[in-house]
Amino acid sequence: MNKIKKSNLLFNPFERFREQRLIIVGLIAAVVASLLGYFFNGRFDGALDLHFTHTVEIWEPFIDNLIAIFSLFLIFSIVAKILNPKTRFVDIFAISLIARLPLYLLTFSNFGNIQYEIGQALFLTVTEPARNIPMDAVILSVIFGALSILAAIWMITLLYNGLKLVSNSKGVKLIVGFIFALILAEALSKLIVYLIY
Amino acid sequence: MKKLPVSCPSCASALQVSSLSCTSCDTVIQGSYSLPMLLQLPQEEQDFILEFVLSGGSLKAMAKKLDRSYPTVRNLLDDIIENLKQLRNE
Repeated sequence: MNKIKKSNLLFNPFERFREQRLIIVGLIAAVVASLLGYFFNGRFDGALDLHFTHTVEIWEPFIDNLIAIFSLFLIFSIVAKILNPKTRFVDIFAISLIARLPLYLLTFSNFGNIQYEIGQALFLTVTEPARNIPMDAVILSVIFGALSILAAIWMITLLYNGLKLVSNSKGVKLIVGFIFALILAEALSKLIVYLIY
Repeated sequence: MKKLPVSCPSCASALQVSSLSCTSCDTVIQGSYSLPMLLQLPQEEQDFILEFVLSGGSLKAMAKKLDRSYPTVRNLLDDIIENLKQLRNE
């Protein structure tokens, strides 16, 4: 069976692992990440978002993750079904859960609320120009920014590879569908977050 | 096991059977016979079809056997179906 490529576990685990396993891992990760969100003051306030704030209530990251996963699942299901009616909902659910893992890992970057403090320090230099720009804060914010970009690329790659696999689509149709799904999922999650809080 | 060539190494056109022989009595039949459609598929697709039939036509069983996910196996089957449709229209 030469045609089956050696699976790329990091960027396309959907090719190799069965949906039950992916869903169990994804659900456990979502619960753990919600607790991490509470401990590290992280809010998952959007399908592709993670922001750090001063304090977080324990239930907030759970609701955030629920909204984000629901938004991804709903929009990607609609787009995947349009691309290929044979697409199974269970596969889309697995993708919606697993694609968020990079975002969950990023919560560790706010250890000791460092990201939030840096953000505040840099914000003060904008509102109060007389203040000196703290260089250590700038360097750390560049490092965290780079980590965030890497996590975003990883997450988007997982979503793209997942949609490509489960809908068996290629070319322009897939790219347009994916961009459409990504924007709509983000917009829907933001709207629900806005309506709830 | 020797692989049956299905396309011309020179121009890539589909090959035909021009000679068949009996290994028991050495009778040789000359002619021009088209290869069956399934034999015109690449070897790995033929192997997939064989395994798929032996699995009772179950994609879930195939996924387990190949240690791949269900959509991966379903896509392989869809690609084979597309190839067969193209061969039928040629």
